[in-house]
Amino acid sequence: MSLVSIWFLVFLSLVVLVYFVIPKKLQWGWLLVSSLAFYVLCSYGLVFVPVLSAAIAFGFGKQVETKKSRGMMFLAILLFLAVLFVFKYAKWLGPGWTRALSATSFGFAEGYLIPLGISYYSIMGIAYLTDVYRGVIPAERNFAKLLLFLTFFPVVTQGPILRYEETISQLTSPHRFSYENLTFGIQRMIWGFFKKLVISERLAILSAHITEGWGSSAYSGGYVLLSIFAFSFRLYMDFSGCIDIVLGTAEILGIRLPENFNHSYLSRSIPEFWRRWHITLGTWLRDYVMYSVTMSSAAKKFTKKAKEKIGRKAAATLVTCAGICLVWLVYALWHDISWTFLLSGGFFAVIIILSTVLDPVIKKFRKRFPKLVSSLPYLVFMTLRTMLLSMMGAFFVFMPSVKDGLGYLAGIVKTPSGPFFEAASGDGFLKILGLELPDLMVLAAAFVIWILVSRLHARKDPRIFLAQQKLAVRWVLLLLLLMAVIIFGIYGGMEAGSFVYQAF
Amino acid sequence: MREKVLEILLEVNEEIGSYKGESLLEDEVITSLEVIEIVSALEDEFGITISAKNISRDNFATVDSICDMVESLQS
Repeated sequence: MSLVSIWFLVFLSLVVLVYFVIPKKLQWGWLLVSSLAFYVLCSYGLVFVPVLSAAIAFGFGKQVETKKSRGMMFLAILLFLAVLFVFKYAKWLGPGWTRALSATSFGFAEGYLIPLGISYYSIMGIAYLTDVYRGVIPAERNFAKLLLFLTFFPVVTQGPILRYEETISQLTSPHRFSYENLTFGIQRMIWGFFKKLVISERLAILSAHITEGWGSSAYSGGYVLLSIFAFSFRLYMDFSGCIDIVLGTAEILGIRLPENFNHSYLSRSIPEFWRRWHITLGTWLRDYVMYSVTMSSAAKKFTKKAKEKIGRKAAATLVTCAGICLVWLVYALWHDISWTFLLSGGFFAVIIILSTVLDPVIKKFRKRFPKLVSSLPYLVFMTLRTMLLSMMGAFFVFMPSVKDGLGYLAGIVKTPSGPFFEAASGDGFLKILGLELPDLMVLAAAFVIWILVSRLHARKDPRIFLAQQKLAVRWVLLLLLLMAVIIFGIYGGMEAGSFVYQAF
Repeated sequence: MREKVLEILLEVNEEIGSYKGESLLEDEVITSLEVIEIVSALEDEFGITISAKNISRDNFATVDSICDMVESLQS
């Protein structure tokens, strides 16, 4: 069941209706039943996988807390990784293993081996165990509550990645029906549908059309650049649109989840971009990989010895660079075991290490030329540069192989030629993009709306702005947006029912 | 102690002195590299051990909260 299907809306209506009708002490139990039902509807018999993960977190959590045992924590984390490896990376265990899984009656089938959300609830479980060990949170005494935390239905599709201490009391405490939560939640969901169905699905056609034809010399030069832009914005609209639907769904139930995006493409540096894109994964990597490694006793010993020889700054820089490399290795492996992800992770690691090492120089430059660094042309240049770098790194990972990715990028400097190029004049140009003229016009109008709403959002929540308008204006604007989704949304396209990040 | 902590912080990043916000860490005034430098210097100066769980938004909110963290780790 996709979050953009009519069945999800029916399912959500039933969940919300029962949630606010039943006694409040039963609410969290109903959420758990709904979450497991959602999982069964999406992943059939694979619901045993998150139950197994919750059992590991529950069983080891209590042991880690009472014994303060680091060994227990590592063992539990290893078990989590083993479950992740067996079910997510099954293809690496050979065709015999995938055949064996397919032969079971748990809903495995060729091409659909990964249990929904396994990457998300695995790292949420690892964070939970680490926090119990660190003494940040107490171990959960109720298995059902921990299971709800790991399988909460809006989140299981593709995040955001939740923290136990920020979420559990919201999930399990009673909630009164709130008209404001309902309207704000629905408005956020409509905005998510708009981004996914009106913008992302059109960009998907454009991007796929050029990408699939890149072998022909027609799709080179500006077309390659255009497809990279189309693909990257498609990924952004798809992922952030899904997060809007998820956050809106939770808001209706009175649950506030963390934001996962903050106008990512307005960043002026790559480190800033990664603080604004997939925020909950970034903070997870920072707290549970970066600081776990750089604050470990081994790293401290190394720093102590190194600073006697090369000084504190250089020693700290070496440890930080090692931490950054590990963060990006985990980032790549979390997505998939593939050379394209490893290369993409390496690409971003190198840029961030350079930014870290050159930070004192950059600060001096900013201090020396304050007028220049605050001028509009400089800011525009920094934003476009960051956009292009981030898009190249992100685009690369979705190419079939490293060779294809490099070949495609090399196409930027080639001149379009051949029969396709000749057809590119007039109507042929549209054919090359794979879109009809009305589709391009809808796309352009949708982008203008997105930019206007984003600009408004930078100052205040657009929903508060809407609530401050007269009743007639509010409803006209909302109905127009809803009509745009219904009329201009692309339904049943090749990937209209699924989200790009759902694959992880 | 506060003077010594402030001296260490300013040596790593001058901007900390003029920061008036709610969290040095969350507002990205200090980078990961600077956190490691600060931790290393504080550990040397005060003979304490700062672990990953101490690197939190609350502990690295302001100069005062860093002082509080050092004080609690000393006792």
